[in-house]
Amino acid sequence: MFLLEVNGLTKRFGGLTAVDSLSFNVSAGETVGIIGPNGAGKTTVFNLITGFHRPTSGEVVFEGANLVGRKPHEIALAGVGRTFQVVKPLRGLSVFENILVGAFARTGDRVEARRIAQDIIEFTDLVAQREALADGLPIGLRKRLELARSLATGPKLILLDEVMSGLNPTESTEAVELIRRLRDERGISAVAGVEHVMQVVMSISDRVIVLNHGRKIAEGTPEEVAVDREVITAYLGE
Amino acid sequence: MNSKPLLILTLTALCLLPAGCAVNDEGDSPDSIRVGIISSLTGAEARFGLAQKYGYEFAIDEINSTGVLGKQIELVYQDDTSKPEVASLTVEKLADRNDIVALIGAYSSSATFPATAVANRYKMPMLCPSAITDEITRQGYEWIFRVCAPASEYGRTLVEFLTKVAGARRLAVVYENTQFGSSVARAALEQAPRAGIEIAGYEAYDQGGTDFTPMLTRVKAAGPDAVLFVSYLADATLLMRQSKEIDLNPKVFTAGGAGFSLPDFLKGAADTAEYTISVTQWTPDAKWTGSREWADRFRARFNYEPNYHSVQAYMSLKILVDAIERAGSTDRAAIRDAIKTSKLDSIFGPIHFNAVGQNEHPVAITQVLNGRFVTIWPSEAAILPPVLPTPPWRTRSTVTESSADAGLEAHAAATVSGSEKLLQTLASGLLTGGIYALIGIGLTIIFGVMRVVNFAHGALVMAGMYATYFLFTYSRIDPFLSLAVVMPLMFFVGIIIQKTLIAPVLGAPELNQILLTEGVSIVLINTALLLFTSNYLTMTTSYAGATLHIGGVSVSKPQIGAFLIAVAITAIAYLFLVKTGTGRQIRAASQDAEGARLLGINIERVQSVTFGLGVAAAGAAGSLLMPIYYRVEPYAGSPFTLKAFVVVVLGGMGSVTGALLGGIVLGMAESLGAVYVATGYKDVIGFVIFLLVLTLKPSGLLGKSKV
Amino acid sequence: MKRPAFSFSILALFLIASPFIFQARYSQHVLILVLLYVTLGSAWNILGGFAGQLSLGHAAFFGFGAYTAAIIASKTALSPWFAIIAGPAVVLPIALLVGWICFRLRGPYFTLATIAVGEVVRLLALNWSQLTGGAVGVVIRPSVFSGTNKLPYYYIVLVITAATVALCYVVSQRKLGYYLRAIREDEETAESIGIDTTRYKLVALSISASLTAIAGAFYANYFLFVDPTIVLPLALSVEIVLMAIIGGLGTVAGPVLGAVLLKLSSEVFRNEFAQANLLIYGALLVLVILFMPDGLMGGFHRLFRFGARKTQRVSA
Repeated sequence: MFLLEVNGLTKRFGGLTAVDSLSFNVSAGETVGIIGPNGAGKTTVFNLITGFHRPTSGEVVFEGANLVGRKPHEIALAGVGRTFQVVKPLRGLSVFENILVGAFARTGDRVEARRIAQDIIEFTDLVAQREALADGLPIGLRKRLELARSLATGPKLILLDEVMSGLNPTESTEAVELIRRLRDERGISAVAGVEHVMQVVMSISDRVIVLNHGRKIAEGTPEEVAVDREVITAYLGE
Repeated sequence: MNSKPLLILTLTALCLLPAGCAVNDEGDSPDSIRVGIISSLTGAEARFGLAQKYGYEFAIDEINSTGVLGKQIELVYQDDTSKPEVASLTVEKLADRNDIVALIGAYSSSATFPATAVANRYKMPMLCPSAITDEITRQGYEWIFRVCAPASEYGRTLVEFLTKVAGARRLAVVYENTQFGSSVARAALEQAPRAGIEIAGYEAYDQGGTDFTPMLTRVKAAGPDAVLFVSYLADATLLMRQSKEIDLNPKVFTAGGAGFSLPDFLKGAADTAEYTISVTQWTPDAKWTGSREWADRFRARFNYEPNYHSVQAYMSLKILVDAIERAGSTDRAAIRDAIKTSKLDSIFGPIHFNAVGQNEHPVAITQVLNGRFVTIWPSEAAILPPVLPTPPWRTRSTVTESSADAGLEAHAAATVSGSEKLLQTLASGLLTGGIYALIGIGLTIIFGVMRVVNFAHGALVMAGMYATYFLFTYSRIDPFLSLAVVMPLMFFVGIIIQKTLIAPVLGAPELNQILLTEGVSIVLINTALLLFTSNYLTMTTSYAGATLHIGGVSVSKPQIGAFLIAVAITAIAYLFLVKTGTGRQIRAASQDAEGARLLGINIERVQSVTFGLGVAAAGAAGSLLMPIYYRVEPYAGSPFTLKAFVVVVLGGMGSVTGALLGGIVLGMAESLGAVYVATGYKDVIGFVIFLLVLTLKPSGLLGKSKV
Repeated sequence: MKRPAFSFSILALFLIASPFIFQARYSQHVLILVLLYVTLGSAWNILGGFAGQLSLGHAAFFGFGAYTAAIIASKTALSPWFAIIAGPAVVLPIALLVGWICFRLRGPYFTLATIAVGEVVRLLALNWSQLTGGAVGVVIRPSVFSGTNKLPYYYIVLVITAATVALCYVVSQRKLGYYLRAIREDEETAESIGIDTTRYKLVALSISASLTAIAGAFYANYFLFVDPTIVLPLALSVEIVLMAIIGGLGTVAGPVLGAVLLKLSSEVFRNEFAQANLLIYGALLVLVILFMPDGLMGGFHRLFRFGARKTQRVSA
């Protein structure tokens, strides 16, 4: 059984079709990359899966259970985590406290939550910034914090929206490494939505899906997709 | 837990507390007997407080020329700022002092009623000079005495007059929803049916309203032959003027004193005050010993026309001093016992307190004849006979004596048909809606471009009103013409506000923007309070009260003018946005600020201009409101903030045509609601619409992205 | 850990001894009023500061508490002190209804809706004379206590205030507090980490409204007179918000500081410069938003946090 199944997912806003009959799967322990030029619909797909938009038609099934129609927090608690393109750290709180908030999704007990947060902060290598105020961090660390916060909720699948944007090459490499470790050490699957930085996407993804104008135009291994003619046209031609 | 902030907090508290708790206690003075006076020296009832102050001063002059028990009387004034809770606190403060022997006060019923509870609890003798609510003497207080006649006496006398003299059969009661207003209204409501008078209408309005026309329309439609108004000063003037505007012609206009008995009423209401009938507790020509001479001396001393509020204050102090002398001591209990046995003959009539502490004082009726208050009833006290029926408004400008034929004809027209009532209601609503629209336009373009919710909008309308008032009063510039000055002025004010205060918070969370503009509102209102006090400032244009009659519908000409100008401004705004370069830039910026910037549009300039225009529109609305409502006070703009939001929500954020539509819809809804449902809940209608639209159709009636 | 305990002890001692230090009745009244406003500010802060839902209609809950006491006093034979329990009980379903209507709206729309709610409640109290006495108001006979000796009232309000502030502190340290802060920050983000924003907002509102109602019930029993202009005006809602914002949104000590400052300075200013006082507060609000959006307390926190950053602290 697939971890996540998306079938015929469609979203229309008035006359505009943002996502058109999209179908794809994610298996446990997989990392899937979704790429496409700006406006291709990646964020909309994420919003549809995580319950922030309601699909016009189609279904989203996670671990055999239907997600469509459920509230975002229910979906998060079911095991689908998510980071946003524009990261929003909780201001006024420290890095540790930010992660702590995520940890409370798993337990109401302060002690247990702190234990989880401590574990996550070590895993994501943010220990040095433990007491720093979250909004004072540079963008790279803020993105890592966002990921850590989502991790603390105990997801089986994380949707990463533009996790690389704004990062310099060093930071990108670190991010890639972290995502790899997610899969290898914790068995957490990830779907990474990325517009650029092709090489990075290619290096972390087991499979890549290419979107353009809301439609899937290619799917396969990174190598296969990189040479696909339609993909090249989509990125260069328009 | 960080300890340092806590330490600072503690130290702050420790330092501030003594300062805050400082009480000025002067200790005993051997040469004087101190009496606490609570009055409304500032606040909404300040005019009455002033009248009382003159009364106290006049009494003090007389008293201290001979002294009491070998000492001088010293008055300790406390200002209740026209608020009940403050009055109660001042009683407590004074009761706590050993040097205060008794209290006199307050002015209004709402302030006095709770204050008496406190005085009684602290066993402090207290004389109430002017609070008429029956509640005071129904509590079984041992220490409280009331000098003036109560509301029930107003009711009894009025009803007697209406049945025996005016021959009225149907009475409509319009009263402000305060302690004072509801007491008199209740007295009339209870007593009229017993005398065979039918209650045709019973309307309560929230104090300080600006638009009584829906309520008066409702009253007119009920076809009363007598109307009773119960209000303080500012509303009294407006009620008479708007009665003229909608051509409400009962046989007699009666009133429950207070606002209708002050000299300021004669000045403010001008010709519309003529023929109004009011209860009174005293007039200069009252047939009590020495009244006239007293009035002459008072007038000479203060250059102020004496009215019963001054007399009540004067008498209260005289009664107290008489009691102190008879008691022979300054012990509070002794003074109380002495007051109980008071028996005096005075300019205010015979003084005698009954078992519940009520001075049995009769009430008379005055009528405004030739611009003066003349006692007309009861016959023992009457100087002139009453002029009845009241000449209808339309016949008045020509002849002073009512022509019988014209009178009959106008009275026949006084019955209102259902369709006339509807048309009148819709007309009022439409015209009011025009003003709402203008206020809303300002708000909507600000929001459209900057996504800033301007909670200071109402205060800016108020600023426009004050500007117009001063231009009219000191430069004789007609309010409609002053638009040419007010709008550019407000435009610049808007730009300044935007550049200094708004621009910094544009990127901040919405919370900050709300709070910032709320802060600006507070600053504006309190600056006005500081500069101009809370008194109403009134202005009368030459065309005030000019009315147009079409069919059975009467509308105020100034209001029509204001409506047309509001619509004109809307049209200009629309054309500006669609046809001019700057206008197009504004629209582009409201669609997509970043995109507009990329196109080379100077976003900062657009934002400044937009805010300036929005404030200019608010100021314009203020200017147009002045010829209609005649008055301004610091809180005058506050109800408009919320109304403006209702308009904007109805019409869709950012849409000028939407604001016009929304304004009219709101105006009509309020008018219809007030006339056909209930006056008291008129403002609730706006809120309900607001909540409904926000939950059901948040993009507004017209939908999104219309200009 | 010694320092906080020391400060606390001084403060506690001072608060307990205050009525004996300041013996004038009026001074005691000021103390009671300050404490009452601390309660109001702290209660509001749970919804407004922690959860970031800016309510400008909280006077409605205060009024509910006060009128519950008034109605109990005038229509039943029970002591109006029961309103301390009955008030919150009455307010809870109202608060949930208000939340259900208003929480669909975001940002300024929510605030506007709360203003509307506050005004509706005021108009109801003004017009529904049979129940509330309308404009005339309700005089309440002192119950249990004489009404002239302020000591028992002082200690009662002290207990209420201490409990409220303590509750705020406890909330801030637990899951609820963290969740509310996340909601304040960004509701979508909060949802994405498993927070049921609607539910927690309602929880915050319920607690906030209940505490405010308790304060209202106390006020009625203390002041012994209730009318719509005293317990339900928009100005009261604005004052509550002012205190919390200037003191420091979202901190526990913020509303405390704000309430103390505002009420004491309004006493100092009252006779000569009543309007000046509010003017200063309005200006302060503007300045705070422009330069110190976290309020005075937030400013302190950041200042001192800066200093404490070097050492590795274990959060309490």
